Amino acid sequence: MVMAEPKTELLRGTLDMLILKVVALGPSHGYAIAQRLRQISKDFFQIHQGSLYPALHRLKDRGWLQAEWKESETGREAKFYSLTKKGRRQMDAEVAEWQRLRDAVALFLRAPGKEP
Amino acid sequence: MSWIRRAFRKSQAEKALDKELQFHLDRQLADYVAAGMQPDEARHRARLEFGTLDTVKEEVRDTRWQTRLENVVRDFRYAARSLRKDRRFAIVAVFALALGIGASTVAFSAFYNLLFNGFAARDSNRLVVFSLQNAEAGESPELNLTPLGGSLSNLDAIRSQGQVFDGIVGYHRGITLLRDGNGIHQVYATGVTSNAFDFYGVPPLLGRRITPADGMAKSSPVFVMSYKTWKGEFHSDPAILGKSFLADDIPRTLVGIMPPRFQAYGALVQIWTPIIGSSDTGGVEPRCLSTR
Repeated sequence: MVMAEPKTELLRGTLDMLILKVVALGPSHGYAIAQRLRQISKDFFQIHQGSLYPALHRLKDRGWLQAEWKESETGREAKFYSLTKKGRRQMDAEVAEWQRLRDAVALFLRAPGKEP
Repeated sequence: MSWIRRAFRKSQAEKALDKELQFHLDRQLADYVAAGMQPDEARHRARLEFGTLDTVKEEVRDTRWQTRLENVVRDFRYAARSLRKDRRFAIVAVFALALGIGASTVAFSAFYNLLFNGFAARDSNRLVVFSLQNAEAGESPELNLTPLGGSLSNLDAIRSQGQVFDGIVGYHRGITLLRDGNGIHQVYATGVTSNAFDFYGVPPLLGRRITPADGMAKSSPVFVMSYKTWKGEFHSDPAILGKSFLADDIPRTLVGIMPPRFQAYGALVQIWTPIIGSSDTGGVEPRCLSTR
């Protein structure tokens, strides 16, 4: 449970981006999204349902995701989320922003520290 | 308003959420069983990880409210921003709104008064007001225009002389201190000749009107109250009918409440009292009903 409860605004924004990224791979239901987040991050992100579903609904309300009830791989009906055009733009913007942040932080981490 | 109702009802969205979360729980369970867990243990573990269903649902519902609130705030910000950006448009919009609201208010109140709230009196098209003037002050025309206060005997004289008027009433205005067990009210009081309420012919809202019998010297003093005063100062309490008040230190019984439409002698009048006696009371202004 590394990222059980996103505590800060930064983490919440990050979760949004990760969900958009996963959904961009193809329409999926909530359970599959949670599974993929875990698989892709090699068990680093284990998203609690109490965070995942509010996030999904929030992204849908903002028009970044759309939802559709469809038959799932087990034959039972499930709610499938897919990316909208607006969602794709948002995802690209967030990814770009995240990379800039990462690069900036990396500059600090790479700076040689004074040896004790 | 419908979005409020939608938010409180157990709606379609709520059922869909149930279904969505249940699917997740069941899939988790199936996966654990597939991985070789005992069904009981799998169920226990899935439940444990999921947390209570209600908590998750609560959090989803919260985000819905948050998003709605965010949307409203964003819309307001956007509106304020665009109004600030285009001053001329803002001024025109405010002006158009003000004009529209003002015009409809005026039209509504005019129509309301003309069609539904006309002067409340029987045969109001035959009502006339005359004033007594001093014919001998003819030298200075300005003086001539000042109406003289009549007396009840003047009214009696006009009444007995001719067939000009069907009826004639007189009144005088004043301010009265009205006292009851709970406090003192200063009210606009109008004394009317005891035939005045029959003359206007408007039925009372509660109780009775002032009748000619109330004008007799020996009758016990009564008064009638306006609707506005009854509502505003006595909280529309029907129990005050028949109660005795001290009006300028004379005990008077409240016998009736007039309807809101009845505004004879002005909208300010709060109580009406009968003028006692038939003659020799000075300072009475007449109102007449002309003959047909």
